[in-house]
Order: sequence, then structure tokens, then C-alpha cells
Amino acid sequence: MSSIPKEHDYIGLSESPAMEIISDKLSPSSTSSSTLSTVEKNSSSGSGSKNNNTSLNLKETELRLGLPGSQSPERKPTVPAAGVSLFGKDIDTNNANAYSLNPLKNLVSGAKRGFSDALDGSTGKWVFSDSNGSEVDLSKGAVLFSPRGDNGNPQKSRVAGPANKDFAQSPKPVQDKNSQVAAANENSSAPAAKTQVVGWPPIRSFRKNTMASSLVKNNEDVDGKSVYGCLYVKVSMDGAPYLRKVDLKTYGNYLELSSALEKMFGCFTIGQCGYHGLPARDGLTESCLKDLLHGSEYVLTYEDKDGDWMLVGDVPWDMFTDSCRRLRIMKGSEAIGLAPRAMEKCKNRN
Amino acid sequence: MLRKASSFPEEMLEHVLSFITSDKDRNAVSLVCKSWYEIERWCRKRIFVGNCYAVRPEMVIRRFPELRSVELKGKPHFADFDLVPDGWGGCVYPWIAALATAYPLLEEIKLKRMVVSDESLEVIAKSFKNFKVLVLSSCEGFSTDGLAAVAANCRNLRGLDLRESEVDDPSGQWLSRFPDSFTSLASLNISCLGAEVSFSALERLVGRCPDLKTLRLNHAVPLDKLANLLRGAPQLVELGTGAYSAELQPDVFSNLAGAFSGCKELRSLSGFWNVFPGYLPAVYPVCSGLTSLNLRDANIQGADLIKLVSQCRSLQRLWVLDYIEDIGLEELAACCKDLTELRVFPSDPYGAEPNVSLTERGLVSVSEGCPKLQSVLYFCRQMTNAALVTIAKNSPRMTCFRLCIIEPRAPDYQTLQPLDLGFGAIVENCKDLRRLSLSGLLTDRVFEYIGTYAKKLEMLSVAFAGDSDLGLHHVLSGCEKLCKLEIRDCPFGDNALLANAAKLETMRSLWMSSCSVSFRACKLLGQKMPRLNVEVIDERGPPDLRPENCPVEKLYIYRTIAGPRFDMPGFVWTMNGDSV
Repeated sequence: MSSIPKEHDYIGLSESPAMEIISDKLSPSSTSSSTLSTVEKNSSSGSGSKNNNTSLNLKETELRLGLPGSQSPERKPTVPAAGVSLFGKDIDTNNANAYSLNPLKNLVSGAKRGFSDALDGSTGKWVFSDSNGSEVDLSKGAVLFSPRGDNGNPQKSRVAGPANKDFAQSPKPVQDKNSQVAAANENSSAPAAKTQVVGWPPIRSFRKNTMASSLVKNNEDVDGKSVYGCLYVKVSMDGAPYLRKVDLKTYGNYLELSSALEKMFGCFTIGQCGYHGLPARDGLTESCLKDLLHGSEYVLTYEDKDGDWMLVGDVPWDMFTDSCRRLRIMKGSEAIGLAPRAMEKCKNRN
Repeated sequence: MLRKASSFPEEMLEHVLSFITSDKDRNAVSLVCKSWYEIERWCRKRIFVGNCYAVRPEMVIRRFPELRSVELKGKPHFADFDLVPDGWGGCVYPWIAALATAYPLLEEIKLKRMVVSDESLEVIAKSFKNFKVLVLSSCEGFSTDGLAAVAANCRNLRGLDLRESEVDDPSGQWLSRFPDSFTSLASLNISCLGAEVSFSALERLVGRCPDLKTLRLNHAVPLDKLANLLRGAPQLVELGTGAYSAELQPDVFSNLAGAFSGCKELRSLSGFWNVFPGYLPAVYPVCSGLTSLNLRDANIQGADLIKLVSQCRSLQRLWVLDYIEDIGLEELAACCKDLTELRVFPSDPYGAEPNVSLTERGLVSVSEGCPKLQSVLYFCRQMTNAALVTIAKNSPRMTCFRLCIIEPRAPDYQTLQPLDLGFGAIVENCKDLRRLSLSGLLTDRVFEYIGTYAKKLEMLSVAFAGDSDLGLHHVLSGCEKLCKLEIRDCPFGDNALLANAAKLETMRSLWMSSCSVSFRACKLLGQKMPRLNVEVIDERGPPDLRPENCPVEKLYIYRTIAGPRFDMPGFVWTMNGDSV
């Protein structure tokens, strides 16, 4: 049904002959026998093109750290892929874990780097559409999921962002528990947990939270993370029309979380920019994006168990996931009062 | 109006119709002739709208001027598993606003999977003087402020049921907003609330409502307070406990046991968060009368669990975690001969290894021992064709069969074959099967069986199954009563969908995510079928920026007479002739 894209920007795809047969045959009153034979005829081409799909050059479609077309550097286990990374290409595990004195600054300045990397590196423009319908052309690295990943994808890319594994079409980060458990607990002798698929097994998410808290309480030798698989919290962003939910257990550190959030809410950020009177047609310019992030327009905050709003990044990751009840991407101006309180609280705790 | 001499007087027909309450029957009546259509529409009191976008509220109001009860459903079922991005839709406010103006005498509103704002609740609270029942099932978007408005204003409220909803809990005080003069409450379900409610307000409320039959508490109500509540409401028929643990103290225990003994009408139990097994015997006095037991949130294991269940000889419905294991299900099969519905949920769905000994054998035992078994939801880690064939033979009356083998594409673990034959036996033997959920390794063959035999099937859920479009084609062309079809991660593409486009107008909805339906096919479908809304849900950005034969992420197709909707977020596009 679809053919292999020859180039990154999809110019030059041929019309699939199967589609023409389909449009001819589309008629509500076609008899079942004729449609069956049509389907049978097409299903063989269907399965043929299914092979085409799975033999799509995954390298071309996978999320990349650098320029499309450049050699992808060897991936380190916990580095999120793609130009959408907040921290660009060079962060490794060490940096991610050593969350230090000014995590907030890292978050924001890293964001600036990440975006500009993508802009510099990409052969196309990178703009997002907002609801006004301005031109959109997403950078290749960010957008192309393989339509249906190989079942036995040999590439064990340990990424928290949308990975080109099975079920890659889901925009939510597919958890790779191996990387998480390995990173978090080097001495664990528990069997490696399987990769999680979004929405599978089919259990309600709020139940997962409830069950987690009630069941874990009764386990003597509890290691919260490996016993239970998820912790959904709501994420809101000032100015965005609706909330999202994320599973904190899918991430192993702040890096992965911020990367995923940026992906989810990136479109709102850019949309905001559109309100400031920039020409919608050409979308956003580089300088506009840089200004946006340079000005620390948004900061990431969370509400903890006590109901206080804190800046994300002040406490070790594990402590954060234990106490985080909800996340809010706040306008920078509103967040100014938060930092001193967060430090106070930490001092009081210790 | 021109009438034949032999026709019924209208009043007589109206009187006859007052005994006909099922929607399907009412719909059939309205199709007999124009005068029956007219008479029926003037006396219809209840309406069920399975998809809030299938019709506009004004259309409902125009046709049925005398409604007293409205039931609406919003998001597709897969929204329960986070497959529908937040913001997709299902906002109830436009409906509430329209209903408020049109039906001042409205008594009941029941909503499922809808986004309900506090503002909507305030409108409900203030617009309907005789409002009686509010059911919010799996809803979200409101807080206890909205509930406070309902409590304060609905003087004749009989039922408030928040089952499975997500409620923001800024204050636990909303219960106090029920005035002291308010005594009409018959049903209260607050089991989903995260925070504490004011216990004294709760106790006073329970004490002054003599008709209270259903009380489902949330986990924040401690065990030592439960006895007082029960003594205040010995007429309770359905009870959901709060947290079921406390330090074991003899006086607390005997108080509780005594309170339970006083509840002679109790038929349904749920709750049991955080069970301390020492307190379980307090409920033994009521077990023999129970018809429904929901231990879905209860961490009871082993002998405690089996002992509890095996005392409930009249049980018809059991929801339980897989802590019950095969051995417990055998006991269940031996003791509970009236069982009609069984749901077994996974205690550790994401663990790599099984943590309990629950296999296909448990379900086989129940099918052997419980001849009335009709409805099954079963999460397990292994299955065989032989087991499914046995279950099918033992339970020909099965109407709902949902099997979830936790590992996607898991084969028959003994023969390593696909489970086609097993599910085939289910659909062939269970001739009244209305709902089916598949799992495990499945080829196109299972869909051939389904299309051939499942003639009464109304809802089918498919995941990680099939080889080609032929599978989808079998289902769409064979299942005559198919109403809802939801598919994820299957290699189904354009051909079957387009070839069976007309079928889609006979169904409520079709959901396909992570399949291979191209954008081009979606556009074509949208253009050719004006009475379908073909929604492409794609968070990668506008689909027309990718090649036309690129598959869409998610596809939701539903029949509608309301035309395309206009409340879509940025990641949803409706395909129709104009917009494409």
C-alpha cells in the first residue's frame, strides 16, 4: 500500500496501484463475493506492502541526535534521542544524574540549546502549527516514527522518547524498563522487566495509582519502582487548552522527563509565539524561538504531597517521584517566588 | 389527523407504551407508522445517546419534548487505557446548557467518559427543580466545588454516583453542603475520591436519610468509623467500605461484627482497601446473603481470600484480583453455583514473571462448576486452545467473554499454535455472545470464525492480532449486529475498510490505532460517506504534511447526523468533503 520513501522529505513517492483499485471498488452495494475477491487480491499486495513498511529504512525514520544524514553516534543507554532533546547531543549518564545547584537554569538553557541544534542541523524549517493553522514542517528527526516497528527490533535503543520499537506510533514515551531499572538500581538482582506498551494490559490508569499505593504498602521488601509500574500525574501548562497525563515511572531522571514534556507541549509554546504578531505563513524564525527560551518564558514546577508548589529539579529524582502529585509548566514570571521556599523546605527536611 | 375507524385511541396507545421502557423497543414502536412515531415521541421519558457526537442536543430536544432522563457517553472506550489524548473532546457543557433550557423537569443525568466542568455541575444544580439522580461514570474535569453546588441546591436528590471518575479534591467539606433538611438520599458512591470527606457530615447525612440503600465510601474513611455508619443505616443493601485495616482491637472488632450483623439487607460489598486480614471475619455474618462481591482493590491473599469467598454461597458476581489463583477459583466453582459474572484482575500486570499461580485452569474450573456463567473478564499469563474449547463447551450461555493474556501475541503455551481454534470454539458455541475481547497470538483465521459464527456480537476488542486486511474484512462483512469495534496494533489497512464502508454506517463507532490505514483512505472515506465522521487523531502534526499513504496514528469513525464537530483540539482532523 505505501512505498518506501526515497528521501527524507518524502518527495518522489509513487502512487500505489492498489489504491486505485480500492477507489474503483468503493461502492456500498458491492456484493460480498466481489469485494472478497478484491480484498484477497489486494491483501496479497497488502501483505507485500506490509513487508515494504517493515523494511522501511529504519535509520532514516528513527529519531536522531544530529543532522539527518550524518552518522548517528553510538547511543548511550539513557540519552534521549532526537533534536528535541532539551540538552542537545552531548549529555551522557553522568551529567544526567548529577543534578546540581542550578537545575532550573540547566533546564532552560538546555532547552535553548536543544531547539537551536535542531534548527541549525535540520535541512528543513522547524515550525509548529498552532491552532491558527500556520505552516508546519516538523524536523525529520522528531517526527518520523516507523509506521509499525519490527517485532524483533534488534536495535536496543534505550530511549525514553518515542522509540522506533514495537507500537512506535504512540506519541507517549514508550518505557524501556531495562534502562530505568539498570540506571536506578545497579545492584538489582530482579529479573529485567519487560518493555511497557502504552495502554497494555488494558487497565485503567487511575486504578494503577490506587493499587500501587495500597499494594506496595503491604509488601515488606518493597522496592517501589520494580514492584509497580506506573505513577500518572497531570501536567498542565499555562495557556494550553487542556491537560496531559504522564507516567513518572517511565522516566529515569529529569532529563527524560523534560524531554518528553517539551515534546508534548512544544506546540503550545510555539503557538504562544504566534500570538505576538509574527507572520504566520513563515512560521517561526530561529530568533523568535531563542528569545522565547532565553527569556525563560516557562518553568517546570510540581505540587508535592503537602500541597506546595516547588521547582522541578531541586531534589533527587527518586524523592521527586515519591512526592510529586502534579506538574505545571508555569510562566517564568509567576515562578519567581518559588525558589527560596523550595530551598527552605529542603533545609527543614534535612 | 386522519384516522381509520379501527385505530387505537391515542390515549390507549400511550398507556400501552408506558410499559415499554427499553430503548430498542421504543425505537421499534416509533417506526411502525407516522402516528405511532408522534405518539411515542411525546411520551418518551428516557433517552440513551451512545455517542454524544452522533446527534446534536437540539435534535433530541425537538423530537422528545418530555424527557425526564438523559444518558450520554463521550469518549471511546480505549480512552480508559490512555489511548485517546487528553483534550480530544467529550465536553458535556453544550448538552447541559441545552437541556437546562428545554427540560426544567429533568430528573436524571447519566454520563460516561465525558468531560464535566464545575460550571456544568452548577448549571445542573440550579436548573432542575426536581433533579433526582446524577451518575458520573469515568468522567473528569470537575472538582468538589461542583459537587458542593449539587449538594447545596438539589433538594430532592436521590442518587449521586461518581464511579471511577477523576475528581479534583480541593476541599473535603462539600458533604456538609447538604442541608440538614435534606433526607432523600438513596444512593451515594464516592469511592473514587482521593481525599478525606468530613466524617461527621457523612455520619449525619447517613443517619438522616432513611432510604439510603447504596453507600460506597472512599479509602479515606477509616475502619473504626465504619461501625457507626452501619448502625446509622441498617437498611443498606450495597456497601463499599473504606480502608479495611486498623490495629486489631477486640472491642473494635466486636463492634464492627455487630454492626454488620445488623445489616440484614446487605447484598453487595466492595471497597476493602488495605485489608488487615484479622478484621475479615467481621463480615462473615453477611456473606451468605451476598450476591455481589467486589474485591478488585483488596490485597487479600491466600487462605483468607478463599475463606471469604467460599462463604458467599449466593454469589452471582465476583470481581477479584488474581491473588485468588487457580486453587481459589476451584473453590469458587465448588461453592458458588449461582455465579454469573467473574472478573479476575492482575495484581502485578507489569512484572516480568508471574507473581501468582493463576492460569487457564482456574477459568476452566469455574466454567465447569458454574453453569450460569455468562460474563467473564480474565487477565492471565497463559492459555491453551484446549482450555478455551472446554470453556466454550461448558458455557454456551456466555454473553460477554473478555480474555486478556498479558503478553501480546502469546501463543498456546503447550502447542505454540495461535489461539484461533480456541476463540473459534467460543464464538461457535456461545451463540448469544454479545461482547468479545481477544488476546494472544491470532491469525486472520480467528476473524474468519468470528465473521462466520458471531452473529449476535455487538462489541469486539482486538489487539496485536491478525495478518492482513482479510481479518478486518471478515469481521466487518460477517458480524451482522456489530456495533462497536476497537482495534489497536493490527496490520489492518485501507482495503478492508474501504470495501466495507457502508457497514460503518450501521455501527456506532470504529476505533483503529497503530494500524495501517492511510491518510488517503481516511480522506476518501470522509468524502464518500457524509453520515460518518472520520476523525484522524495524530499528534505528529497535520497529516497532509506527510505523504498520503502514510498511516495515521489513530482513527475514530462514528456515524452521526450532527455533521462534523467543531470542538476538536489541534491534533484531531475530521475528514469530509469540504475540509480535505
